[in-house]
Amino acid sequence: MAETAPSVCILAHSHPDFSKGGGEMAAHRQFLALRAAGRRAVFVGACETGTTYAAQRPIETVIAHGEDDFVFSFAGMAEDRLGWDDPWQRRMLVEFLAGLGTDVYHLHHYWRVGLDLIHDLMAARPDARFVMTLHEMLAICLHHGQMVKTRSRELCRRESPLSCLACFPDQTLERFAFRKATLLSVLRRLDHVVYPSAFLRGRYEAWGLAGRPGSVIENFLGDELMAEPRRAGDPHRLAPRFGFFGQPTPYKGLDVLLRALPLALRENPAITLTVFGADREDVLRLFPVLEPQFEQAGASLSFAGRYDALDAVALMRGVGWVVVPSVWWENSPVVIQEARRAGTPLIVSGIGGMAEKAEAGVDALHFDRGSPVDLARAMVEAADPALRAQYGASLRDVIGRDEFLAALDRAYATPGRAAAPRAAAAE
Amino acid sequence: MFVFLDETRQLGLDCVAYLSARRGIAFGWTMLPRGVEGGLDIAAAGDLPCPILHADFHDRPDVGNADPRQAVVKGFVLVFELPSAPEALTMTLTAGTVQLRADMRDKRVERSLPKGIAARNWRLNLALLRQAASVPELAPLMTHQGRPLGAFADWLGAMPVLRGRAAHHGRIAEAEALQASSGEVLVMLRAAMALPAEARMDAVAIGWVRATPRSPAEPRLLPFAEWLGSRLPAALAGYGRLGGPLADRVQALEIIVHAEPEPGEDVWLRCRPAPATVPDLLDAACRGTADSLAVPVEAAGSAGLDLLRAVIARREAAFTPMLTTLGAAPAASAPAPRTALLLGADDPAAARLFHVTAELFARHCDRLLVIGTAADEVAQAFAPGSGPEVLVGEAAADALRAASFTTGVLALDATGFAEAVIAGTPDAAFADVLTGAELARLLALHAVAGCAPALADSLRRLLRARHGGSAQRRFAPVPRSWSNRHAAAPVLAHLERLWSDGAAGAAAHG
Repeated sequence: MAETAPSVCILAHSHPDFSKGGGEMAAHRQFLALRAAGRRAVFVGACETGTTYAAQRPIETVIAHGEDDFVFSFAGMAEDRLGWDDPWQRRMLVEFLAGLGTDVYHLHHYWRVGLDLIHDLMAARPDARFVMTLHEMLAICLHHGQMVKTRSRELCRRESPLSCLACFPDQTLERFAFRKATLLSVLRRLDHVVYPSAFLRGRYEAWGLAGRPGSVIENFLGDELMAEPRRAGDPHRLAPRFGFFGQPTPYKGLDVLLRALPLALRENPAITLTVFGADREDVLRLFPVLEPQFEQAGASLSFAGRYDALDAVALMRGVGWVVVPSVWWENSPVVIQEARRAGTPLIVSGIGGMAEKAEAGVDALHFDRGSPVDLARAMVEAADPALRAQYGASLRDVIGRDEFLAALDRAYATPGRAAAPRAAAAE
Repeated sequence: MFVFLDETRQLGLDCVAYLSARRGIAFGWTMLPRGVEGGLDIAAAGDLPCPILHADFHDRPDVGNADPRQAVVKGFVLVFELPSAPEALTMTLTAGTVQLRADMRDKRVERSLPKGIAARNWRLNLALLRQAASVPELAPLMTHQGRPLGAFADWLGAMPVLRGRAAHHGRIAEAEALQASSGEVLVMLRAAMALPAEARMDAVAIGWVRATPRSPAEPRLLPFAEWLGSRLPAALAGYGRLGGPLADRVQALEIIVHAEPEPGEDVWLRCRPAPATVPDLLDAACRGTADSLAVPVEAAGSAGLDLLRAVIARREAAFTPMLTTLGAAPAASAPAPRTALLLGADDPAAARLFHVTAELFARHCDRLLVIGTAADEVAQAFAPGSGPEVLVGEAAADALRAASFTTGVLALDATGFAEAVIAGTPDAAFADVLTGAELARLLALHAVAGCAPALADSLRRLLRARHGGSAQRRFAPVPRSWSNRHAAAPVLAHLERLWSDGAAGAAAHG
């Protein structure tokens, strides 16, 4: 298999040595997985550090960062990081990438890569296959791709120019059209689109990618986390222990969880909640009005501070349930994958990528998004050791390396419908 | 300098200057006894006569006349021939049997023509400016010493300049000058109080015109095909439409305005009109003085609407026959043109789209004319050598004019192209062919009935008419806030009529 497998250049919007976002972690884990399987793979990631440096002093556009591992400065990109203001730097990067000579260019994200760069690279390598993993919905939604309305924080279910104008009244309908047309013009030429969740696939297909070759392939967690032991744990001890993992941003719903906790404690005083990823002060800075809830929760609430991503699975084994109360859709949250890897069932908002990746009745209990009352109901229910034991048994593990690579091979082998016009365009 | 014989016989010389190497010009005045015929002669040394080629006589109210019952004062402008290097120059006024001689080389006589004109009465200068365009002997005045505006430069340089719109311009509460691409201008002088019936306004237009496409623009006096000067209860209005062969080659326009809000009171303005759409221009015709400045004047609004209706009537009389003719022009059965016109390139954000779709354009056209405020950025998206030849600015405008009545163009609107790409049918954006006749009609409609500065808006209206239903429903109203709410109905009805004139014929060809 290794002799016939295509060589792959993974072009990502960031590098995990400089940023720990889910997309770049998934991209780099794919790079390591391909190499571990004996495939030829090259990683090229955008580098914030190099870009900041480029503002002060001269720096090469592309810098070697390890064996077949490169970073590039995106200092020449436009402010929205969807295109390049500096065509010279774009050309240098295109020449470097084309010169790699790989059979496949697997892009993770278009942000910080540039649609014009992708277009130019397709023209420079008409013989190569182009695959992209779409990690989020920036193409669809100007609001950081969250599909949450800017004013009301209501969930947005479908992009439409006038709805977008309501969120961004200083924009113009024409500008929305130019942006969408540019994105679609390039994304429709991809030979294959990889969606980490069916939810994302649905959103992108409704937006304009329907009929294009694509598949849902879960992000690979990496060999290190896959080597971690997976244990259901003692349900009697773990059932009333809940954990929140992640940054306390407004859209992660920690405030919903902290409002739910005192309500749940009224029903079951044995319940505890540990917040991993933030200190008490961090949370109070973001949600100062929640101080009374902190007081009511007393010793049942604790904060464990920041943690290393590689420790997440081990930490999750120490709680009975991982709560993911996000008030936005989430696409394919790595925290859900980590919980499933750890063997710890979940309580999640019943929407979007959360509802899909943590299946109700199998992996998780669902609650109504943004509702502390319903979350408290779920927590009280989950504190029952029998239910914890049931979910500990049914919880699914995540995708393994072999299954992941086989899915990639199928994606790379897909005869792209875009190949013909792309070749013609390059003539 | 003047020569005095008695209270009824005098000769004044204000300025004597060269117009060219062998031609001179003299300004001055004569005083003769009433009923006595006079004559003026010019001679060089040795009584060598200098033939007078042009003479103009006019009133000189500024020259003191002790007894107008006994004497008559007349100003003069003389253009005369000169011998080579004349050593002396004398002007002789014959008054019956008496002769008065003046040394034209006297040091007290102004020898700089621009200074001499700047020192004259400005009303006389306005008349001289007009004559410079119509009297061949005076034509060198506009090019004197190779200066822009020639001999009038100092005078016009001293005149107060109005750029677009200004408040508190002397006794004028608000002055406004607008110019539409149709060659129409509107000057409104809004007063803070009622104006007398004698109030009046006069104007001439100076256009900066290129004699040839590559030559620098030079000032020329442009005739008005029509001029409607109106007194409203609290404003003076001037509506003009430029005519003549130079009107469509104007690069910039100035309107020299002389107004008399009260008898004997002069207001002079050198107006540089602000560009305006036709609705803007028409709306301004019935806009009252700014509320904060106005003393309420009875029925001022109705008078403004009357002016608006008069202007509309004149526009329809001028433009309807032309639009009807264009609509009836036969469509050529030529192959699809290989020149594409991309309108609405107004947002630099569009450039990225054209970068990633440039190959599509190369399939449909050999030449692309890009028009819009972001045309430069959009043009840069098409890499030279690999796509169509891209023209912007004046080159695009010239190519567009060349295509009208001839090859026609493929017409695209930037937003429409984006929508076609989104719909997955980008080639459909290249389906709208404008024949040479249709293109000519589009350009004409944009000039005389354009509702927005961008040609893209007019193209959308034209295509809407082509694909739409009845003429009335084809015209989309202009979204704007009207300064007088009663102006909306007549202006929109007027524009709709212009857009409908000849539309049936054009649709049949389309």
